Amino acid sequence: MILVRSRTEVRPHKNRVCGLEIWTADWSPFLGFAATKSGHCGADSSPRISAPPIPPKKLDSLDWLAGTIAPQGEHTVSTPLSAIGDALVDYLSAHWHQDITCTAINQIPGGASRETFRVKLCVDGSPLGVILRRDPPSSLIDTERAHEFNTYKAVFGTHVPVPEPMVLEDQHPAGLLRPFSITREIPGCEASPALLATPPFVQHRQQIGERKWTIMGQLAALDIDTLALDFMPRPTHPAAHELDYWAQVINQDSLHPQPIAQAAVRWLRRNLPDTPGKLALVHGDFRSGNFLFDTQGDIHAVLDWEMAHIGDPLEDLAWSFDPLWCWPEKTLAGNLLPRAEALAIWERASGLSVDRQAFRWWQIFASMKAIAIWISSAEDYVNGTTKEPILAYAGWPLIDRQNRILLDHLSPESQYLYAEATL
Amino acid sequence: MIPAPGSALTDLAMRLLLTIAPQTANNFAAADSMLVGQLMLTLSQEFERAVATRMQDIDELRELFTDAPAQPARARFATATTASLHLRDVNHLHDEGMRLLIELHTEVEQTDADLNLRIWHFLRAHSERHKFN
Repeated sequence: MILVRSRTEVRPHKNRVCGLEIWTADWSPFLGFAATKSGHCGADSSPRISAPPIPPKKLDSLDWLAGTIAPQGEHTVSTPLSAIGDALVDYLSAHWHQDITCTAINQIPGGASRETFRVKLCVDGSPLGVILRRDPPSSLIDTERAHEFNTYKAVFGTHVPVPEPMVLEDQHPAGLLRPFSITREIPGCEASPALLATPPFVQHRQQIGERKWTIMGQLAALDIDTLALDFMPRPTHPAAHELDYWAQVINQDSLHPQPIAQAAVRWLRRNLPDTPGKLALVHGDFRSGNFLFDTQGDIHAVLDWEMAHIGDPLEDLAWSFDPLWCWPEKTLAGNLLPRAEALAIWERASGLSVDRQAFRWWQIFASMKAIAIWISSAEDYVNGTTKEPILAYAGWPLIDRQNRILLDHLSPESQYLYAEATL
Repeated sequence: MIPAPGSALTDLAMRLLLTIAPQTANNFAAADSMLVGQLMLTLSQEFERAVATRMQDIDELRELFTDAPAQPARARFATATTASLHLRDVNHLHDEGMRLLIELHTEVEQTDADLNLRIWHFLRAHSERHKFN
């Protein structure tokens, strides 16, 4: 069932700070929003969420937090959360003309650009789990919601698994107050990259990695002319197009001069690759943390398509190799596979051959794009109305790490400790 | 007065992370508490070193600029002083130095291999000074 009420404007690049929603997944293990922890259709109608007991261990990093703390227990949610569930029931009942109740609702922590809720519904006696993503109060990103939703629609049903898009609402409905989208929940899965290094998932890293880069290759192999992607512009030179956009973000949003990021931009301008032989649908943030995997090592959905665009198929591959996504590990791309192995899997699945010189450009671009996002997030924290702590986190540790990665890429006397040493 | 605010901030962060957050019943609030605690640990590092690292950057930039082509703004930077040791004033001069560094790097990176290399050395040292554990 799909209810679409939004126009689909073409402004795909506006305010891509939403890349920070990576942390939505990263925090999940100890916050207890796994689908299996929620209520069931027909059970106690009071919305319930899990409470996280946190053992007193040494706190080294976010990875430790994400990887070691398990949820237990439940308690009744606060009134505002219940009110959102009630408002959603009213909305869907009016639009679907079915008997709907909400049996559980919890908020998924961490998203910087959307408020995300896991909602258990009972629709005419049948259980239905959905993910509600609502704009925050100060959001200016009125088109990314539609952009992501319409990308889900275009990809749904292909070899690339995505959540089923169900509802897009671009008005301000009573109770829910702000625009939102709804996708079908995919239960029994995890997304946190920290979990990939812990049992039971660590035993399936090879399989998850093979599946990840196979799906990424299959995405690159999709014929964009057969997908409903008319809302996305087709750049004549994808590398130049992307570079222009992200260089502008750095220039506009830097709170301090950024000499390493600026050096990267100049290097990228001097070394632009040729236009690719094939244009592809690029996810734009395809990395560990943005797909749902299970205990058997399968991947059931690729998430967070807000930055999707038409471009060079190497872009996603390079982004997935950025050392930040496996920090401080240096050898396993996305904490899953050696880069050379991942690259070979991608080549087989995509039917494309990686031009190593162009790929080096896209890897440096990926690190530049990442630091642009962190810079933009820090600016948003300081000057914006949304004081999400995750935005501040980007402004300190993430800019620091990305600077060191760029130094590793570009410094004339680099030891190549990260990506290029292992490829 | 507590003489080492950075250490105190660390202690407060640990209190938040190990005592308050685990007892926070709401998942979303617990997540926020944990992240705020992590940020407080980061800030405690920055609190202790903020002025020192910036002043060292400024000193090294001045040394670097002495070997650069003569330019009025760089000459002014060589003798400029901070209005005070308040972080905002130190930041002001530090930002000016970094802006001049970007200009210089752009100017010489294709024409002066030695100076380019020295700039990269500075950037590496700068990055090490400012990194978070």
